[in-house]
Formats: sequence, structure tokens, C-alpha cells
Amino acid sequence: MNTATHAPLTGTQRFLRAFLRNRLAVIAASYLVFVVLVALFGQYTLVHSPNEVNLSRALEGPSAEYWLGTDHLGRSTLSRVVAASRVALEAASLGVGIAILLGAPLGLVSGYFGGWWDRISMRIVEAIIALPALLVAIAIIAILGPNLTNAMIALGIANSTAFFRLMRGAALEVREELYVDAARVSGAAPTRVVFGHVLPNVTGPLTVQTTLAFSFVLLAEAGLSFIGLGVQPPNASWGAMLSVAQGFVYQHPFLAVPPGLMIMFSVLAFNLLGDGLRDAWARVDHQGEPTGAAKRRMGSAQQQDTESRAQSRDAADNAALLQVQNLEVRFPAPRGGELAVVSEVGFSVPAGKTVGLVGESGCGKSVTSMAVMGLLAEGGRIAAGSIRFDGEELVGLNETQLNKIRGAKIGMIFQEPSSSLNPAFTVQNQLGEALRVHEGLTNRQADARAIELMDQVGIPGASQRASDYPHQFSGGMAQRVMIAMALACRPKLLIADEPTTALDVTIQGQVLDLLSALQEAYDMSILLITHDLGVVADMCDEAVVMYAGQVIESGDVDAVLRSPGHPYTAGLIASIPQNQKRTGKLQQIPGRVPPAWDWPRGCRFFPRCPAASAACNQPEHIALTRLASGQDSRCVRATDIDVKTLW
Amino acid sequence: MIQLLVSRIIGLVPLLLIVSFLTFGMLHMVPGDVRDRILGTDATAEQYEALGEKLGLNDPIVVQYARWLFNAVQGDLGTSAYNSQKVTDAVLDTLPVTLSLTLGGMFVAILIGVPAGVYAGLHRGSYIDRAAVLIATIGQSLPNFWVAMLLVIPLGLIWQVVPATGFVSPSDSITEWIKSITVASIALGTSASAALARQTRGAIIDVLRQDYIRTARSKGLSREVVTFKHALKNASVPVITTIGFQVNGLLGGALIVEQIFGLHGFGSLAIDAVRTQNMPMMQGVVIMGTLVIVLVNIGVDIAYGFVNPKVRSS
Repeated sequence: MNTATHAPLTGTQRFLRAFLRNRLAVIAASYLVFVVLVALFGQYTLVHSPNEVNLSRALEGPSAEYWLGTDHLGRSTLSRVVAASRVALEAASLGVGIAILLGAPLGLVSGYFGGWWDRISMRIVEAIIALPALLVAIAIIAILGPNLTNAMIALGIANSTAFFRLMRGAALEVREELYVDAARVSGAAPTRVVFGHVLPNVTGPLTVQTTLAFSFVLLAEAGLSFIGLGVQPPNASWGAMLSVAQGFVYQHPFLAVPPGLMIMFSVLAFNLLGDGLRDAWARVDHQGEPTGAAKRRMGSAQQQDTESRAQSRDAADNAALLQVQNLEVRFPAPRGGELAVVSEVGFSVPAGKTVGLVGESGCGKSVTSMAVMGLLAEGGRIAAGSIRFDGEELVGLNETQLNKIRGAKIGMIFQEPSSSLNPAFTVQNQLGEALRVHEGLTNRQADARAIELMDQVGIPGASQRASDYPHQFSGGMAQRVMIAMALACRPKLLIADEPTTALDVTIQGQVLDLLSALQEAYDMSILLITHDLGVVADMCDEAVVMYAGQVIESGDVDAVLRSPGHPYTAGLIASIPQNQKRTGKLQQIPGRVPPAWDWPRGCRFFPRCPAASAACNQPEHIALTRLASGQDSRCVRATDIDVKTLW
Repeated sequence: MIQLLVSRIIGLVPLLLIVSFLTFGMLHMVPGDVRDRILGTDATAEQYEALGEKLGLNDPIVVQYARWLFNAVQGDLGTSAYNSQKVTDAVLDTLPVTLSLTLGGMFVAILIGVPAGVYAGLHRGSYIDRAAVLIATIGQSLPNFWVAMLLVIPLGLIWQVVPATGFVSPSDSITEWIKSITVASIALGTSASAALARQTRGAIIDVLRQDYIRTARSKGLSREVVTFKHALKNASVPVITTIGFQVNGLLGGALIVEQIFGLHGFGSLAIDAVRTQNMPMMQGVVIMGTLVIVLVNIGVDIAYGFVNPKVRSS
């Protein structure tokens, strides 16, 4: 990684950079600074005092003398707006201050110490939230008398619940974390824990909540003053000015404009500032950006593209059901440009056979399978290559054309059955969908067929369970529903993306057995995506091993597993627990798959490879070569080392 | 479903007890005495005592609360501190206005906010989306009583398509009722719709990322079916929650906006109560306001049960 170009930024610097890039938030912040300056010093620049009555000049429009006109008593609207901005900011600061000082410490104590104190305060907070906030504010004003300070005390109390909940949540979270336990054991006083651990964590959300509280209190203050329960005449307040304006709304509507706009802009500025702060903090938490070196490589991807096409794999097997050649998938890079996350991927799935797509997470297996389905996540695109299915080229088909194939000729099942089923519909409804769309079945026919399918995949009591919702099924049963759903239209190809990874070990075998049996019954091909070589050995005829977006080895499953032609494959085999020498140590490939912007240029595996030599770290691209044992390998040293004994 | 409803209604009881006790206690901490205002400054000590006895002010506060509660359960929220008007009658007289405006504002908010949010969420990053987010942010910043003033000038005063002031009960005329609350509802609904649009947008974006959307697409369903069947029903769960949260704000807005249209609702009642230190009335308004919020929220919960099978079956 090339980090020499600029030193890593501290959290604060990154936060500031992210914030300053948000133009609206910067404008909002500048506006608020301006309003504060006006509130503090504006009165010294005014020609007319805000309460200076001049009945001969009442209800005038804007003029050279009265820039914003006058009200019914001939008072300068400009002067009153300026005076009112001071009132508004003072009032809002008071309201927000009370909310924070009341809510935050109580929330902190409640969350940190928990117990009965916490339970009682949560009850009270819930009750306050259910109360009509403004009505309670009015009730408090009833007790204390109508004036601005009392109104703000009322709003402060109503608003304190937000800070209470925020701080309580933060304290609870920190309390659960180990480092505070350590701090407590080491004898740190609670205050130190709070200032050292809780507050730094909560600064971000607290600031955002504060801006939101400001906009809430500003609006509420204006409302209360409008109905005469806040600022009392003759003092100026935006809300009270609007109340006056309301009396002359037909005669002199302009009177309502300046104070209304002042309220709107100030509240808007606080809202935009809050949004900007929230986004900037979210950005700081998001680590990892491509470096300069990575960006350079993004540029060179184009070049590789043409190279690889020249060295295209010749294994064009026309009898294959699915044939992927030279596939390249690109996604937008985090900082502009595109990254090829899958390149030069080629393999084929013969009719009736099972092909395993193997590799660690982050190797591009799932992206490859989603590319076949035409379901790449937002922003992803197939930049090069061909996907032929059943004699038809899938690359370049539009959504409507793809929809005729998806679910009808190609079915797919996913890793997490519970999240892959829609929680809002019955399984029967979801099972029947593809049948209704692709085979034109009526609802009744689809429902009947759904029960048959559920029966076929071994769900006991299918007819009773059909109207259940997904959350009522166990993981294994939900995966059976998924399988039934994928097979509803008797597809020729089933893509199974880690179909057993999320299941209990005992259930895994059952699901795999079911898949094998159904494959026979339906005479279909399976593309099985897995990181588990054991599953590959059990289920597959051929294996395609992927690493860092490339196929690094592929061939007959026996050849690949017995005499691996790539150190990475050998490493995966050595990591299967059953294959380990009983040394008491679990063998693993050191390190992990680097992110796409960090892939080496020559052999992508060489930084983790025990047999790496100078020849591996070459700038040129390495092609697949056919080995004597029959499979293809992308290792330059495949012939001069004994791959099998590396690990 | 019925179980859900029953449990929610039972849950109301402790909440209303806490709320009524808190407000009762609070309103009785008032400095000064209603008796001063009713009797004036030159009342005799006997008159003072007698009135205290009549109003029940001589008993300890817990006894006073228990008495109030005993009557309240039977639908009697007490008597105005000034005349013989029953608080229950006053509150029920003004309830239709406040309820109409709150629900009207909610209706407008849903009518504008949900479609706008859905469209923006489905077209994330487009110019329309960005414009919608900006408009929503501005909309959230508008004081609703100002919007009401700006709307009433053209609609009520110049073109006179709706009455500028006054409330017509729906039992008298449905169309006139709708006309009498239209402008106020739009004013109330504007800022609520802005918040709702932002929430809806977020919910749609979040749902579209879910695994089951990928599953639906892998079945070859058209974009319309994926969006309007699979995404929308799930996205409505957080949106309905947001609507529940907004009831409180809408009710508060209604108190203020009714002033512009000369509608006599909880707002007028509460303002009068403040001006005259009429605590029994204030107490009644707060309790009824809480009841409105909680009941509307139960309605929201029922809608929630319809879209979320997990809630329904548990």
C-alpha cells in the first residue's frame, strides 16, 4: 500500500473534511453564525429602536427608511426582527440547555447503574413521551405564568426525554463493553469511566440531537408566542410578530413575511447542520479507502481486459448448459472510478452435473453467480465477457428478457433462508409467485402446487404449514421452502449460494442429500457456491477455485482435490479439519483475501503463498495453463514445485 | 389481533394513572389560590373556608386526587373553577375540532409524504430524489401556523373556496366539515408530510437492500411486483411507526393552528384555562389530549399488525 503520499488523517481531520465537503451544511453553519452575530450586535446598527412607536407610519411596506416596512404601530419590522432573533436564540438556548442538563445526566446515571432506578425512570420517560408535549407546556405555563422563561422550562422538560434516552443507550452500551469492565476492575472512579469512555462515544449523536432540539424548540417557542403564551408584548419575538401579522393578514400580508422567513431559515439551518454533522460522523466511522496505488491499477484494468481476451481459455464446450467466458464485473470504487472485482472468470456447467465454485469470502464467487442471474448489486456491471446459458447469450439482455429466464430456467437459493424469505407474506404465496408469472397458473392452481412442492422437499404437514409465515419456520425448514421455491418451475440450472452455511451441522447433510435427490428427479445442473471443500468432494463433479476475483484452478473434482495444481487450493484442502495431521494445531492459510483495490499485479496470491518467488511478483498478468493432471492452474510455479506438500 | 388490541387497551390504564397523577400534582403546586381570584381580595375568612370546603381544597392532595379519579372513571372530570360548567362537557364540545384537525393533518401528511418518499426511495440519487429530500428538509422547517396564514390569504380570503374561519360538525354536513378543516389540515400536514417522506424514503432504501428482494428478483418477478408487493408492505412497517410518533406533534400543531381559523378546540380551552388559572379545566384538557394521542396510537398499532405478521401472531 502506498501511504507515503499523505499522512493518515486523524479522526477530527477526517470529520472536518467530510463536513466541509457538504456545501449545504457549511452554508447552514455560516448562516447560524451570522444570526448569532446579528443577535449579539445587530441592535447597535439599528436606526429605529424595536419598540419605537410611530402611528403616522403604521403598516408601511419596505422603504429606504424602513427596509422591511412597519407594523400596525409604525414600529420598524427590521428592528423587531433583529431584536427577536436575540430573543429566539436566548430562548432556544435556554430550552435546549434545560433539556440537556436535565436529560443527559439522568440518562447517564440510569444507563450506567441500571436496576430499579433505571426501571422507574424509564416508566416516567415513557409517560412523558405519551403526553401531548405542547399541552403539557401550556399546563406548566398555567402553573408558572405566561412568560418566555417558563415556556422554555416547559419545552426543556418535554425535550429532555430525547437526551435521556440517548445518554442512557450510550451508557448501557459502554457498560456492556469489556474495556469499561477492565477500567472498573482497575479501580477507576465512575466519573472517569463516564468522561473517558461514555462521553467520547456519544459526542456525535449528542451534537446531532442538540441541533434537532434547537429546531424543535425554536418552532415551539414561535408557536407559544404566537398564541400569546410565550414572549409578552411589547417585546418582539418572531412568533408574536406573526400573531400581530395575523390580525392584518388581509390588509397588509407582507407583515407576515419577514418573521416567518426568519423562523423558517433558522430552523432549516439547524436541520441542515444536523444532517451534515450526522453524515460527517458516519463518514468518519467508515474506514478504508483505496490508496493512490490502487487508483492507478483501476486505470490499468482496461489494459488487462484486452490482454486476457487474447489469452482466452480455449475450453469452449458447446455441450455445456452454462458457459461463462472471460467475465469481468466492475463496481464503483469508494472514491470514484471503477474496480474490477471479478476478472477473466471462465467455467462451464455441463447438463446434469454439479460444479462447485470454491474460495474464501471476498473471492468473487457470489458476484460471479449474481452476474449469471443478472442481479448484480446496485452500481455493478458486467464490463466484459460472455455468459451463455442453454444456447442463449445472457450478457446484454434487458430486464424483461432476463425475467423470462430467472425463476423459470435458472433457480437460485441463498445462504440465509430466514432473511431470504419475505417476512410479510405466507410461504404459499411466495412459493406460487414464480408459477403464476412463468406458467400462468391461477391462484388456486399455484396454491395446490405450492403444497405439492413443500411436500416434495420434505416439509411435514405441508398443507397445514402452507399458510404460515416465514418466521414460523426453523432454519432448515425455511431452506427447504427456499429450495421448493427455486425449483417451482423445474429450472435446468440451480444456483446454490452457500446453501448450508447458515444451518446446523446436522441439518446441513439433510439439505445436501435433498439437493442431490432433487437433482436426479429434476435432471438439472447445479452451480454450488461454497467455501467448504468437504461439500465439494461430496456433491460436485467439477471444481472451480476462485481467489481475489480470478479463477486460479479448475478441473475435475478428483484431480483438483487429489493433486491440487495451485498452492491456494492446496492450502484450502489442508485447512479441512479431517485432513489435518494430528499436530494439535489447526492449519490455516495465513492472512486474508485483500480488498479489490489492493490486489497484487502478478500472482494475486503470492503475498500469502509459502512458495512465492521473484517470478510470482511480476507485473505481467498470469494466464491459466493446463497441467498434466488435467486441470488448469494460474500458478507460474505449478510445474517446478510439489504443490501438494506445501502446507 | 383482538388479543393485541385488548392488551394495548389494558396497558393504557397505568399510563393514564401516571399521567393524571403527574398533572394533578403539578397543577396543585400553583402558587396562589384560585379562591383569591374567585372571591377577590376582600373576602372574609369564613367565605374562604366555605369555598375551600366546597371545592375540596382542604383535604390532603392524595384524597383530592382519589376523589377526582373516582369521578373521572365515571366520566366526570370535575367542574370549572369559575362557573358551573362541567369539564367533561367543555372537553367533549371541543374534542371534534381537535380530533378533526389532528386526523386531517395526519391524512394530508400520509397523502403527500408516503408517495413522495416511495418515489424518492425508488429513484435514489436521481435529481428528483435530491430535490425531494431538499424540499422535505425545508418543509420540516416551516412553522405550521405560518403556512396556515399564507394559505388562508388566497384560499379563504381572496378566492374564498373554503371558509376562512369557523368549524362545521361532520354530523351537520360532511362536505362543509371537510371544507372547514381543509386549509388547517394542509398546514398541519405539510411539515408532518416532510418528515414522513424522509422516513419513507429511508425505509424503502433499506428494504430494497434486503435479501428477500434479491430472492423475489431471482424468481423473475417484474420490477413492479418486486417494488409494489415485496418492498412496499415491508417498508410500511417503519413508516407506520413514524406516523404513530407524529400524532403528538400534530395534536400540538392543531392547538396553535385552530387559533388562525377561529376554531374552538383544545387550544382555545387550554389558553383560556391558563389565563384564568382554571386548573380543573387544564387537567381535563391534558387528560383528554393524552387519551387522544394514545387512542390514535392504538389505531396505528392495529394497522401495524396488518402489515407485520410477527406482531399479529405473537
